[in-house]
Amino acid sequence: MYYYIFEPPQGPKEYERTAQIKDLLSQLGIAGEMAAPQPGRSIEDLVKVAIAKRYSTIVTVGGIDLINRVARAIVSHDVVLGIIPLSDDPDIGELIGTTDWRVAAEQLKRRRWQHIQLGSMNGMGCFLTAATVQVPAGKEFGIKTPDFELNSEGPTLISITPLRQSETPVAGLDLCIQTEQKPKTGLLSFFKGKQEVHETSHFTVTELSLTTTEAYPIMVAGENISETSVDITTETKGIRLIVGKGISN
Amino acid sequence: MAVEQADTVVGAQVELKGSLKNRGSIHIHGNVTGDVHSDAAVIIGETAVVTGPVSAKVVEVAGQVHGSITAEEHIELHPKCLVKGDLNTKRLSIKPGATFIGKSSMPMSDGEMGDIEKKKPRLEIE
Repeated sequence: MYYYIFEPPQGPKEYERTAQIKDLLSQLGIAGEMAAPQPGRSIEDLVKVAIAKRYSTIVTVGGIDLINRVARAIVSHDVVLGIIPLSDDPDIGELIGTTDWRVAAEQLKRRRWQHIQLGSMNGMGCFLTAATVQVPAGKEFGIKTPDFELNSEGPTLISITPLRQSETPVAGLDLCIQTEQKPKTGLLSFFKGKQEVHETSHFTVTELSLTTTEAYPIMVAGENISETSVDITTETKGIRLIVGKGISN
Repeated sequence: MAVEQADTVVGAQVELKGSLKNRGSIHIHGNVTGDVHSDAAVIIGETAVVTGPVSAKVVEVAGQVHGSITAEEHIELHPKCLVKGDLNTKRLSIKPGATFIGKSSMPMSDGEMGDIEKKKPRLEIE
């Protein structure tokens, strides 16, 4: 029933933790087939194997990068995603309600799942956690949504995250535009004192087109998955994710 | 479960054209050309310039608005703000130093008109 994809352990401490996780899964009665990516056998290959063997649940044991890659691979398949986190990334905590691997393992046994939306870029690459674009200083960018057009210039960090079902009953994206504040110098600014400048913009949109004068990488969990300009919407099917009690449906 | 939408915020460096609508509140610090509507509050900061109609339950203006403002409950014009347009609301507050060029209308029910003598004035100019 459960197919586990482990992040390859690095060093004796991680080997020990992997052994502890396997022990706990056995104690909970949810041990299953376990695999790890290696040269010639990618994460995507492992997901294909799990689906071919008709496993109903694929569990990632690792960080946010592994979770995003597995989520992208299972999006069009009828399988449930489970997560045993091996880092305290706040994105993981937000998704499943814990970053503690022991608590996450116990949640797997209860099998309480929630439908989660994914973002989709140009109808191809999907993302579960924030997709970010860094626009350099002085470079212009534009964002077009069904309701409005927005223009600004860097240095800016643009962050796009699929909305969780608990936040909204409809599909949508959370768009955050954070402009880095230029340090103010000169006599006038000294006399005027500190002025509060609101540099962060925040919107909830259904879809957007991001255009830039040059191509900039789109990063998801430290991985370059595409580049600008790009059309972003939500993946209609989404995925089913095993979550904790604190996460509302 | 219907949950309130997150606040919409337009940062100071942003120029936005089009329609800005939200069930939650809208905070504007940049340049907006188009209509702005919230089911809750619209807060227009000191650095903001809005060109277009604004409507919400509550509207507070500290920056510039070139267009009409309609608020279901009340409108508050802060010092140093500039409003060129008509105001329509039940309660209006204009702080000293605010600039307002336009007409204000404050709709009342028939009952309220009868009791007008007994009531405190609802237009506050400090």
